[in-house]
Amino acid sequence: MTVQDPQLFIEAFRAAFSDADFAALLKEREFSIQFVVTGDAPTAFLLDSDGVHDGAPHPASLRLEVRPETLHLILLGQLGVTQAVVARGLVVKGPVPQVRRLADHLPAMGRAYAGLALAPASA
Amino acid sequence: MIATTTTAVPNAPTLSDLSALNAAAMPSLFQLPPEVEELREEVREFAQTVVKPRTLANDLAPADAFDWEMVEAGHRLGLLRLTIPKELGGRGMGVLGVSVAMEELASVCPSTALIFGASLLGQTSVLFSGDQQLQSRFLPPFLGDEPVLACNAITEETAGCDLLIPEHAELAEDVMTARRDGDHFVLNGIKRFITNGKTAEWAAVFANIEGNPGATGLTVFIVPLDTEGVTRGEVADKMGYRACLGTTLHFDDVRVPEENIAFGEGGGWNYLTVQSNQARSIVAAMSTGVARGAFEIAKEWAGERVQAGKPLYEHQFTARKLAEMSSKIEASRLLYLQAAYQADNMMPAPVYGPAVAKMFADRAAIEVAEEAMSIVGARGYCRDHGVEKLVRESFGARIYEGTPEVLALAITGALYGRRL
Ligand SMILES: Cc1cc2nc3c(=O)[nH]c(=O)nc-3n(C[C@H](O)[C@H](O)[C@H](O)COP(=O)(O)OP(=O)(O)OC[C@H]3O[C@@H](n4cnc5c(N)ncnc54)[C@H](O)[C@@H]3O)c2cc1C
Repeated sequence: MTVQDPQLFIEAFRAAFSDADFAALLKEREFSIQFVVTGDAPTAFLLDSDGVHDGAPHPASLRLEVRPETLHLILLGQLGVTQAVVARGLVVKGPVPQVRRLADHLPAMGRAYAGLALAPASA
Repeated sequence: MIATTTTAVPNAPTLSDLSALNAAAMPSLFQLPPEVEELREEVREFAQTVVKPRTLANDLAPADAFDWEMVEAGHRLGLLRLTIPKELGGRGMGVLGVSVAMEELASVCPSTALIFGASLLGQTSVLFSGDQQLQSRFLPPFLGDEPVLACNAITEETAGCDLLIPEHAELAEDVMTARRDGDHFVLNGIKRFITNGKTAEWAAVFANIEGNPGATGLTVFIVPLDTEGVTRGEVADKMGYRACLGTTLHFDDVRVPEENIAFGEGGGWNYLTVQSNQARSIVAAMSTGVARGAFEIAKEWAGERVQAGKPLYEHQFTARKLAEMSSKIEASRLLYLQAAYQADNMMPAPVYGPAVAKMFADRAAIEVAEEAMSIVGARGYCRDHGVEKLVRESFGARIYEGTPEVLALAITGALYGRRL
């Protein structure tokens, strides 16, 4: 798997659920994100308090259409969400105030992603 | 001759009953969120009680006079921190909230609306950068007791519309340069017609990194205007928008630390298109306000002024004018609400909706203001009346944030799939 393989994002987000606070905050806020990872292998999945689901089983709080290399940088904390929008790597659909909520969930997702993406085997 | 009879219909609503059915009571596709409705009421009150009584005096004052007292009153209402998130101490409004507020202000004084609008536009670069270091340095002044303004500096002597059309970046001539010098950049050039340039504490300045052709290296620098080498030049003696001061800003070897760059080196164009698409909904709302302000004056006059034995509105030609004016205002409002809604629900905001809204509303404002003046007659042609000011100011929005020609390129670009 390369660093920007959409499967890596899915795996990482599943791993993020080992952080109990992450799942609890998603549930408390009824927050869900539909990811559409563009690029060579476009992939759609949805993250909500129950986990990560293939496709888009129900409407989400936010829909992120994102390039894999952009999501990679966002999760590693190297690129802010609005900077990614301005740089044309990300389109966010949904109420803009929800984007600030997204920021609260990113650190846990980022930690899980870094654990996988930066591990020697996946480099 | 066709005979006409009038038959009394029992319990039919009278004209006065019907006029009580104002727009607010009508069912609408657009239910504004309660906090936006509340803001509208607050700004309407501010516009009527604080702005309106000073509008004429501010318009007739010398070109460089500035009404800080009025700005301070607007600051107390939160108009200078409208878009700063609530958790940072602002009012947390999106494009919809700002647009609705701007319609209210512009219906009384477009010039006052632009003072606040231009400051909010300057702040957008810092807010949107998501850069906490920039935010912690440049946003707190708007949260204090004293009013502080920002500005957005793009336009130059040789580069006007060329700095609004990304495809023309390479063609722009003599654009302000930014030369790297260690961990600083050195800015040289002149910005023109910068609203709040005379009064702002800092500016979002668009400059081209040296070595890039035209404006292809456009970069946003946040520059405190008391930095050595910055000179605030003469105030433009404009035909309208006289309460807000449009100024030349000179930059002579101005040293700016690299951490004052928002969106990275060369990130200017990407940000500029995002900013324009947000701002165009807001300017469309201002044009809707201009049209509404002029229409309200004409409507009142046409209801009172009697010629040939009946009020003007009962004369068919005038009735037609009033009806068309009213239709244009309603259409402008729907377009800007839709565009603002899109901007609040999609990042980046789309090109098409805001450009269409601005194109339509800017034209409608000119047409409605002109008709309003013709309905009021000679009194409307006098400077102490108010409608004459709106006629002059109706032309302003056609120039900033995209002329009709620039908007046409954006709209057709979207129609033919060249731009998002
Ligand atoms: C009230 C007011 C407030 C302003 N505030 C600010 C501010 O705060 N900050 C700031 O940076 N600027 C500000 N401006 C300046 C404004 O943004 C510019 O005037 C505008 O971008 C047009 O530039 P220009 O005047 O140099 O006209 P030009 O670019 O010289 O254009 C002149 C005419 O040619 C047309 N034209 C130009 N290029 C093309 C093309 N490619 N195709 C077809 N037609 C074209 C234009 O549509 C226009 O009709 C303000 C202007 C006004 C009137």
